[in-house]
Parts: sequence; structure tokens; C-alpha cells
Amino acid sequence: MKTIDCRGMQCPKPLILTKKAINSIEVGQSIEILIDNETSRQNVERFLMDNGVEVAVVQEGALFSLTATKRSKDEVAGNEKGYCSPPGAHRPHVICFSSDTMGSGPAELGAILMKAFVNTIKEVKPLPSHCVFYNSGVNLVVEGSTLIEPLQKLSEQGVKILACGTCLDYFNVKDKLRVGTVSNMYTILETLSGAGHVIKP
Amino acid sequence: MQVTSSNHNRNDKPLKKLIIVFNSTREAIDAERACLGKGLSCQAIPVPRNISAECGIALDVDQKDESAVRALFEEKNISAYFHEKEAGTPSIAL
Repeated sequence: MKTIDCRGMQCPKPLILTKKAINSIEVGQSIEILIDNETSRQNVERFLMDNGVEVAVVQEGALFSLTATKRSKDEVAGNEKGYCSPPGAHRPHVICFSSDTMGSGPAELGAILMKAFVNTIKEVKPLPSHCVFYNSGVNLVVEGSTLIEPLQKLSEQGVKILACGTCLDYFNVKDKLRVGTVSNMYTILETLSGAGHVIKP
Repeated sequence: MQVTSSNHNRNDKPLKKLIIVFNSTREAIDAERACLGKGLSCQAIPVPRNISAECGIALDVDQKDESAVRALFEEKNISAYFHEKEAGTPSIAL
């Protein structure tokens, strides 16, 4: 396993070296990344996870060893500099769709409010980093939803769309996902806890 | 029912859009349902700020569907006000 020694390096250098190394290996292969500060560790870990790379971290004193395993054949193309957030810097928000309606009340009102909400996301900058869909929220990203096209456009602008796999399975619509990727509780919780703030319509 | 994705021209060249506003939320909900029921592509959006500062739902439809949408609303007895996108002033009230 190749080792990338990023000790003593400042952001974005560890990210640039990591990206280059990930793009040079095959799916299923791993690299080890050595980092000696917490901020850099967070940035690299977030960068890898956002790009579909599996990460395991071992800490020994002040040294972090990250094992990054490539899980997708897609080239990692993320903007490294965007991940150089100093502590306390602005972190993008995440929108959390826990239902297919906005607010609680009459279903038809909640449904049309939710459609208008989703169609407004693109108008308000900065865009969220992620939109997370779970429970009946997954109805918005499967076949039959009128919001596939607007969500697809957000996805093309870099907004990551995550759909709860357990929920797709429960509703028996796993093969009907039309925008975004199937996700799990770990990624969903990491995405929510890593957000600058979370919006829940 | 797969409705809104049926318009493949959108990525090539944006079609002219119409913003339709209503007298009530009730009519907006009924109008959206009626359009989708007829397979007319429409998106619920908030009423643009240049039209009204009050909260309200508008529909965004393709201009090519204008006559079909007008006929549909007449049939359903829905009062609607049509605006060309970014034009700001009502063109014709049904």
C-alpha cells in the first residue's frame, strides 16, 4: 500500500497529493495518508468521503494515519481548496428532507409547499452542500416525483443528493431512484453533523 | 405518471416560461393537480417577489402549453393570471 506523507504540510497540499494518489489506483485498492494536525485530518477525511472514498482513521498521539480505499471508478474531481476551511470558518449548510411534505398539516398543502421549496433552493446562494432524503422524504427522489428535474439540476451544480437506502427498501422503490445516490445512516449522520447548519423544511 | 421530465428540450435551449398566479392557495393546488393530470409540465414555485411580497404559490409552465393550460383552467373554473417570466406585469387575466 502506497503511503502519502503529509506531515508538516499546509492545506491544500495534503488534499492535492491525496487526490492525485486516489486517481492513480484501482477500485478496491487503498492508500495510507499520514497527517500530523487535526484540521488537515478533518479536511482530507471530508474531501474523501464526499468523493465516495472509504476512510478509516487511526490516531497515535498527534499523528493520524488515514487508510483510504477507492470504492468508485469515477475520477475524483472535487475542488481541493474548497476543503481548506480553517477552524470556525463558514461551512456550507445541508437541507434535510425527513418527509415529502413541508411542515405538518394537510397533506396537499404540505406537498405543494415542498415543491415550491425545492424549486426555490437554486435561487438562494450559497447552495447547500447536500440534500438528504429519508423516511417519506425519499418519495421526492423516486420515479413519479415531479421534482426529479430540479433536483437533477442542483446535483449538476454540485449539490450532493443522498437518499436513505433503508427507506427506499421499506417503500420498495430501490430500483426507482431517479436522482442522487443511495446512502446509509453513517453517511447521513456524518453529513448532518459536518454541516455548518441544517435546514429542515 | 411521469410528467415534468418529458421536456427534453430544456437542456439544449431554454423554452419561454410562464408564471401563473392565483387568487388563493386552494386554486393553486387544484391547478397544479389539473395540469399534472393532463400531462402538462408544471413546477410549483413561490410567487416571484416582483409580483407580490405575500406568500403564495405560483406555477411555472412552458409557454408552448399556454393554450392547453388556459383551456384547462377555464374548464375547471380556476381564475389565473399569466405572467411571462421576468416580465413582471400580468399579460391577460382569464
